[in-house]
Amino acid sequence: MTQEEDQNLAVEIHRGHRKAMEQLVRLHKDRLFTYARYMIRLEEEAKDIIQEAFMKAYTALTVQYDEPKCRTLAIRAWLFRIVRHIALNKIRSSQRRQKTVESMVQQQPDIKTSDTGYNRSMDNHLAGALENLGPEDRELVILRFIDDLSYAEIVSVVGMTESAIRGKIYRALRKLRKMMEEK
Amino acid sequence: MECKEVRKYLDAYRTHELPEAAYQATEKHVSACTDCQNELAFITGLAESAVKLRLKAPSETVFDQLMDQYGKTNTDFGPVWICYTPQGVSAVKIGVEDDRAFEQYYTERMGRKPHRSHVPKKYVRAVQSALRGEKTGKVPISLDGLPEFEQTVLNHLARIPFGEVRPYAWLAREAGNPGAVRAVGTIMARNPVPFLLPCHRIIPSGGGVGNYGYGPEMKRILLEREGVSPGDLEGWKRRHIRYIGSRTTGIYCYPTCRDARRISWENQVSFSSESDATAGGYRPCKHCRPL
Repeated sequence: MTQEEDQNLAVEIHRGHRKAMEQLVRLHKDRLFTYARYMIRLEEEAKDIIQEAFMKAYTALTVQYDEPKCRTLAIRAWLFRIVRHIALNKIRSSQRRQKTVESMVQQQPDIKTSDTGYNRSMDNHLAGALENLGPEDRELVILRFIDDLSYAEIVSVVGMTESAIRGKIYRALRKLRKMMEEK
Repeated sequence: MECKEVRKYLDAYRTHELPEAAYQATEKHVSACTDCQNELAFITGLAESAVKLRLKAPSETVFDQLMDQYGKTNTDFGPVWICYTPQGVSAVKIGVEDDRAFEQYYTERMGRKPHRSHVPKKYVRAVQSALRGEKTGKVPISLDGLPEFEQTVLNHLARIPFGEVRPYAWLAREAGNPGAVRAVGTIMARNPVPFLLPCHRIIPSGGGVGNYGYGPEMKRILLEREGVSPGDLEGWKRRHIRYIGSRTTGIYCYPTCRDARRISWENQVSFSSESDATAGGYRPCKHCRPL
């Protein structure tokens, strides 16, 4: 899936093809769900977030943006940005309600690793180590490694410079390696 | 380059995301430095494992379910179901038994299953004002998925002003197909967004109140509430009055056109046909564009 294919879909969506939107959702929902789920921890909340994000994206592509804008938008990074805004708003508003925060801390995401057995211990180690990273580091590692985004995309999602992100990811990797070697 | 510097580039180097010069320098260093080779191998392994931690979005995250959402509100005509999409209101329905009956109606009509949710206040208020016979302002409407001609007709219907009525044939002409009077009748009967799209403002070409999807009685009430007297409509029909002209301006209109309503009593002339009016030297109004 390339950016160009995404943009072609966006143009079709703009012209009113509902099927194109279904395809866009299909292409991106797993990555976006993973990101939302690691940000917010609760399965139900993460589901709501990506539904809301797709709604917003659909409205933007059909009503707010004109065709040239749809044709030039970096779709994947844009979708992540929408998810990020919604998730951060939810986190902020739930921090005001202490109860929710407690339930969020208690509930760890149950990370499903593949059942092939290949390199399984590395996967589990990584999952555990990720939990012990700070929220900012974890977000970057998820975007870069689990969701496989490019540096340019991460720049547009989190709004930092590329060299800042390179540095942060380098330090996060060092922490991860240390944690994984200790186990 | 030093190891310390190279380490920050290693991950971007792995995926060829470095500027050419930095890429070359990193490559040169890595080929000679076992520590950095080791680090690169760790990152590559981690990247391979990490992809497997990607979660599957729940299967109900399908587009259909987030597209069409509906809720219910109460009015003096009983409960009203309102369905909307990101683009606007897609259906208004009264007289169905319950949520299940509404879902069945909507799925058959639109080919998409709606999803129970809450309806934005602005839509609820708009439907309630329309039923009370008040102006609603501009409400976004979603006609997505309907045949093209149906969308054209409904878009023209939306432009009939509050407190005025037009014949079926007029709407067919406005929609660009003067012969499609019957088709327009069917489209009115199946109007997915009644009240907001004012199909109650469409009357038979011969005059009178005419039929309505929810029965002629409801049509009379709706028209009366927005200031169109059903008695007047029937009176015009009895007296074969289709247009009203003004002696002072030489213009003729539909009787409910806002311009016709301002013509003073002594200057009014009535016509039973277009030829009558033109024979008297009158021209059609540019607002209500009589046939």
